[in-house]
Order: sequence, then structure tokens, then C-alpha cells
Amino acid sequence: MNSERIAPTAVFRKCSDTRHRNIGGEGIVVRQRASEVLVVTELGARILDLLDGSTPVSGLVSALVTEYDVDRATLEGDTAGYLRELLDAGIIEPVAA
Amino acid sequence: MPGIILANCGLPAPLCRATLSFDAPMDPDSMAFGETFLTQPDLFPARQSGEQWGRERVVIRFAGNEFICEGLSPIQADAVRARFGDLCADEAAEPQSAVVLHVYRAAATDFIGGEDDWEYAFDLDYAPTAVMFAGFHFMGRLDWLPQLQAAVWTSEDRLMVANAIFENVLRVVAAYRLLDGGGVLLHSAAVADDRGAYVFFGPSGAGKSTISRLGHATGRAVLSDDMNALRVTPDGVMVEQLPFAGDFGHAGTSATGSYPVRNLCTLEKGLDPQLKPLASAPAIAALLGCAPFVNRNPYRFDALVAKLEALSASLPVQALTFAPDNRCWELLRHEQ
Repeated sequence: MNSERIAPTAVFRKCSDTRHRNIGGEGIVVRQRASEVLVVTELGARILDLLDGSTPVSGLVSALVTEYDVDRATLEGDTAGYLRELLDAGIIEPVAA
Repeated sequence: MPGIILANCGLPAPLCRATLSFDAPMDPDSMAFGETFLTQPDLFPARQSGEQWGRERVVIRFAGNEFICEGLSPIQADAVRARFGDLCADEAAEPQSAVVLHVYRAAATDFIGGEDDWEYAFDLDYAPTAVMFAGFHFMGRLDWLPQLQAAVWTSEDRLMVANAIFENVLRVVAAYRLLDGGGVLLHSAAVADDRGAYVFFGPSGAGKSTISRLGHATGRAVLSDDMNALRVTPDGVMVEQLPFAGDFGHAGTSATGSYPVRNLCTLEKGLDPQLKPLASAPAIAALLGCAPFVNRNPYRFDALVAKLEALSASLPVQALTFAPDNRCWELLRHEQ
């Protein structure tokens, strides 16, 4: 796994070949070019929903903190970790500043 | 908090990855569409037209659909009739709703490779109202005009059927036709007995042919060990036989028509038989991975997932672990 820190100002978007759908409290993600289908948690699916290619990581955290019973500092760390996981899986990509 | 990517569709944590079936993986850095098979991929036909091989026509009927194959040479038509047997007719019963598949002649120089280079994989490419494909000595396209129509261009006359060009094309056409009609072509084995059908799905190597042989050896009927059509009906999920077989072959298939599905299972080989329920998302993910030809089409993703959700809602998906013996049948028979 790439350990490079994810900055609060970083912006991500779903890769062009990524399709996802929320199903029964979880999410399915298809990477069509790589012929992969993955299952993600409800939070993973929610992060994918929130990725619009313009909202920075800090904005994602602000949205999530209103939805989950977790303090902001914990959520910041977790969200960065989750974004790293999605990056490493080829599901999302950074948007150039 | 735990990681967000779950491991609950049967693969090691933390990533749950299931390779989608059939469509050859397409690396972003790999060759562009058709470059493996076509000498001039940029000249890929933009529409369905060309010089027909001949004036022969064969209608093929299966899974409630009719496919009118037009423009065949006498050699091609005879080979299609020999391959598809009783499924063939001279005329369509309902030509308005049938899918027309035009067969056009292409020059051998349009394609890369000689007989020794033969391979069965082929490229697929997608547009909002079209699907393009290119393989060894053939290229084809599906167009929604708005009704589905298909065309294949090939340089092969005598070998068009023998080398599976025609069958590969028909598999793609059937997959999209089924999706348009509310069904799904599933990479699966279907085995039936007096209580209904058991549908086992999974990628190559999961055990579809093995469990088909086990079923056949115990007197059960095998629809296909490779591809079957599933539909949600008011009476439940039905499985219909398709004329496409895997290692088990066509000779061993001993059932025709459609059957109510009793169990819909992912398949995994193991020491002891086990049957476990699958949650919705892993079930849909597993089904997606076994819906070849359509599962990587970005323009059909929503329609396909909607069909799979309906399927899973009507008949919950289970995960079957089985050993190469007959204990799995007892387990399935006693499962409610």
C-alpha cells in the first residue's frame, strides 16, 4: 500500500471505468477495464457517492461527520485511510489542482 | 473502524475481488480495440452493410427468442444447421421480434494471423447504442436501431462454424437479447431433477462442469454446464437451456426447455459440502462477475444490476461448497 499522506485539500474522483451501486447497506463497485467487481461497506459506498471531483477531503469529512457518530479527528484519519484503500484498488484517482 | 472493502464474497481480506467472466481483461496500457485481430482496426465497419456470403437463411430458436441468420453461403448454412440441429428452422414464427444477424464476407487480408495462431478470445468495445467486437478472422457489431440487429464480417466460409466464430457471435447476441427481454445470460451450470433446477455459477474452474458430471451420473438432467438463461417470472425464477456448452459438452446435456430454479448458488470446491446464504451485495457482485459480454458495458451497467437485483430478490443466492461426490445433492435436496 502507498503510504503517502492524503492532504485535507486533496480532491478525488471516481475513475472513468468505475461504476457503483448501493445495495442492501453495502456497495458494489465494478472496475470495468480491469474486469473486477468489489464489495465495499456502507461507508465506502457513501464516500463514493460524495466524490464529485470538486469536494476536497475536508469537505467529505464535514459531510460524513454529520452522518456518523464519530468525532472529527477520528473520521479524518479513517477517511484518509479509506481513500488510500480506494486509490490503491484503482477505484478513484486524484484530481489535479 | 474496519476497512471499507469487505471480504465477504469468498475472497481473502481486505480486498474482495472477483474477476468478471469471459470478457478478456482490458489493460489501459494494452492495445486498442481490434489491434490484436485486425490489420486496419480504424477501418472497422461503422454500420451494418457489406457483401453477403450467399442467399441462405437459417432461423435459430432458443430461450424464447428467434435469431434470423441472413446471407449465409450454402456451406455456412449447412454447418449452422448441423451445429444447432432441432433449434433451426427455415422461417421465423415472429419475424418482427426476431433478431436479424447478417453474415458478410471480409477479405482474409483484413485479419491478422494464420490458422496456427487461432484463439477464441475476442475484443469488445462499447458505445451507447452499439457493441463492437473483433476476434480471430471476424469482426461484428450489434446496433440498436432501435431494435437489436447484428452483423458479422468474416473471411471464413468452411471454418466459420467449426472454429466457433458463429457461436461466439451468437453468444454475444444472445446475452444482449436476453438482457433486453428481461433475462440474464449467466456463466453457469444448470442441473434439474423432479424438484426443479439447481443453477451453479462461477468463473472458469469453479466446478461447473464437475458438478454437471456429478448430477448427470446420478440421473439428473443437465441443461448446460456453461451458459444458461435466467428470467424472473410471476411464478419465480426460471432457467432456460441455451445451446452453449463447456467441458461437459453438448452430447451429455439431457434436458430442454425451462425449469423453475430451486437453488441459485455460487460454486466453490472444498472437502465437505456446505450451503451458506449470501448477503445482497456479495450476491449481486458474484452474479455480475458471471454475466459475460454485458458486465463490462458501461452503458448497460444500470440495466444489468437492476435485473440481477430482481433475480436476487426473487431467489436468494447461496454459496455452495462441494466435494467431488454426491453429498451436495443430499444437502440441496434437504435445504428449504
